[in-house]
Amino acid sequence: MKNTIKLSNYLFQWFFRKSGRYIMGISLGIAALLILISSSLSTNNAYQHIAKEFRTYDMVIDYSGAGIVFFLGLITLFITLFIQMNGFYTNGKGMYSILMLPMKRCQVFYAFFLSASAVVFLYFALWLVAMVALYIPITSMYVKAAFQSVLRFSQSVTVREIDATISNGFFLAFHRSIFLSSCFPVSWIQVLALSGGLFLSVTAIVFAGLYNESVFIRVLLFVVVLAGFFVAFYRAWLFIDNQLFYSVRSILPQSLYLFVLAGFLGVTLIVVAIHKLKWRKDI
Amino acid sequence: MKNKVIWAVALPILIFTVFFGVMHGLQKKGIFYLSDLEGQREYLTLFPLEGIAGDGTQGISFRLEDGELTTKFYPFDTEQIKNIVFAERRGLTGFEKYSYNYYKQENYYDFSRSGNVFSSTDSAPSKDAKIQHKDSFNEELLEDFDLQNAEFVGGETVIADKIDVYLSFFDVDNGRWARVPTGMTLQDKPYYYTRGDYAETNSFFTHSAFNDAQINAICIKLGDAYFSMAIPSKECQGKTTLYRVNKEDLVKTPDEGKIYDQKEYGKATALCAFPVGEDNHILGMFKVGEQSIGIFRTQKDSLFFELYNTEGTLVAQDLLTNELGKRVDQAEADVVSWNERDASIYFRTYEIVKQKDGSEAWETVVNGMYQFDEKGLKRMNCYGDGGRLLSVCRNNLIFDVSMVNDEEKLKLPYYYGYQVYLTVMNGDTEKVLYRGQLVTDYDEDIYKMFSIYDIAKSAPYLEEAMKNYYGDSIITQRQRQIMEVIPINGKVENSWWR
Repeated sequence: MKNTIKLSNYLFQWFFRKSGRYIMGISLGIAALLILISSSLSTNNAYQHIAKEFRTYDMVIDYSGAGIVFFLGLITLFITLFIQMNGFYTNGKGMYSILMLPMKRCQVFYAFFLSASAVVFLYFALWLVAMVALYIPITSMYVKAAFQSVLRFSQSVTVREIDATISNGFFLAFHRSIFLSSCFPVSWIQVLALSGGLFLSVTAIVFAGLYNESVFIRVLLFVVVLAGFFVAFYRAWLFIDNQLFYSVRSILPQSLYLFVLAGFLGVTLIVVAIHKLKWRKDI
Repeated sequence: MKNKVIWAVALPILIFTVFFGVMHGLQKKGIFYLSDLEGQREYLTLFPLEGIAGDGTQGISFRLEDGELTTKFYPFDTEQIKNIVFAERRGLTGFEKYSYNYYKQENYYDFSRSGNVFSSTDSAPSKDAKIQHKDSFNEELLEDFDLQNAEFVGGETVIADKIDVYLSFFDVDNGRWARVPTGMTLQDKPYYYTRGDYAETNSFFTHSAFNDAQINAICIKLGDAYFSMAIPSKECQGKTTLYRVNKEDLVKTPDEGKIYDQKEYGKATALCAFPVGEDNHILGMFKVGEQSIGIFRTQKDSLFFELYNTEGTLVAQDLLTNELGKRVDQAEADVVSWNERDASIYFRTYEIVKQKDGSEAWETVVNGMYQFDEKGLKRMNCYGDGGRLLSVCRNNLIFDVSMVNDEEKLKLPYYYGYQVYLTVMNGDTEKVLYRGQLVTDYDEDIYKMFSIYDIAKSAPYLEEAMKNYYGDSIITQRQRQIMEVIPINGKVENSWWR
């Protein structure tokens, strides 16, 4: 146990310094920029003023494209995780010294798994904190702008000073936004989907990083990583599908099936990966 | 900060837990309560109800029992919540509850179907019809259909000027049938029956000018027996008969490959018959409780509602109107059965008016409500129009749940009416005994509707711009409303026919 943590500590620090912090910083920076651009309220132009100020927080986030940045950042994170682990084989053969450490092979796997999970966890948590922190400044800005806007309904009816605050708006925004509701643990079903899907993805990427014997299996494991994303973000997929194709599919029970399947497949992959590591003859 | 990896795992988990806890705590923070406007809330105890409210992303199910309103949050769209609520009504728990699909499993909208017995119509030439017989496939069809490439080596065609309509029961489980004549005939045009034998294989193609979609058959299940009647179209003559059949009465039928069949199979009991013709029409039938069948029929200019028991005897009859009956094209009924016999029937009848541009407009002819209990059938008046979520009566009280436009509150000319009012009235004196409002914060959602319009200019005014509003899917998906209200101890059935 102690050895596992020691090794994963080293791996995590190494990765975080090398690329993790840049990915987190850059993705958050781009997202903040996008949100700022998309939410910049046009000043009173005499010719055109689209009433963006009536958007709610969930619409601001979804229209800004922050979700896409988040997803791209996550994919970059997984790719760099893989490159780092693969680098132990190619650059300096560090993997051989790691595998020669006085600890069991399964502990080596757990150390890699733990450090990779820590990076992914940190990525999600940072984004969540940022999204929560943005809520109050953005909504107050919008409510203020909505209060100042003038709605000319007809020659006789003009409405001013509209109070566009939404009671319990924080809660509603996180449930309504496609991005926020599918990427953060807003409800128990989302906790299950996210934990199951990301468990599978992280397991698959660690397996792919450590297993350099067959390119075919590595490619297969990349597909499994994507399958894990599908399980984790099933809600987003469903929302987009329902909106684009006017279907009325529901989250349950598919999400539960996917969670069980992902969990089972993840555990199987761990067992297989440890088995493969143990029986490596070339080290 | 020695163990960075532990921190990197523990801190996010802490953040997620706190966030999840906060979100869980905020579930109850929405505004949703019942406010009394008039009268005592005790009147609501006779009408316990449950309902579904929310938008395309999250929502609640609520229950109003003994004047107490309780809500339960679900992170699902309202369709899914509806599935869960209907599953709970059926007593399902656990995984079954969450995987239930009411649309597939309850035949909620399909009332020609009952259990696993279907009914359908078919036809055969009458015994006294003038029949033309040819020993070839009906060649006219070869042009109409996608049969140009088909090569028939032989065939048979029968053209009759008069045909009988038959009613069939079919059990899906064991493939047994019953077939009986309805008593209806069609003689508006010559009907053909034709068969073409394919050259290559031993198979053949048959077609008839009559198809079963032309005359609809409604099948309902009361107790163990199935009841069915063919609903005549405008061209039908003669009479239509209400039949009862038990599952044991159905038989295996031989498939003789004939182009028509004049035989009867099985033992279906004829209960009663209704004249059909120029002046007499049946609009439809539906089940009322577990012991009665309700039928709307017109006779000359009169519109009748009649209740029959399982033996086919008339239990109650009511003359709805004796002037407008001819105009009715379509009728709809929502039945709430309180127990085996007692029920509340809320019906609407419409005239379908063809517009100049080819579209159809539905105009209400008569609306109303019936209360059926041990005292018999009682006609109740029905109030208000539009936006009705539920209208039921019981013990001489009318309970009505409607959405009412309250223009005072928002001062906007464009308002959906998310305010839902609950009203209990005395059935005789029409005196309002209780009036309450479901107070929600759903109206706050409508402001986002303006976010797609250009508000800098005064002309065209928003009112005009919003006339062409079809709804941005993200906006409509995130607009909460009260979707459904159903009585808790009543069995709800909607039916419509044409």
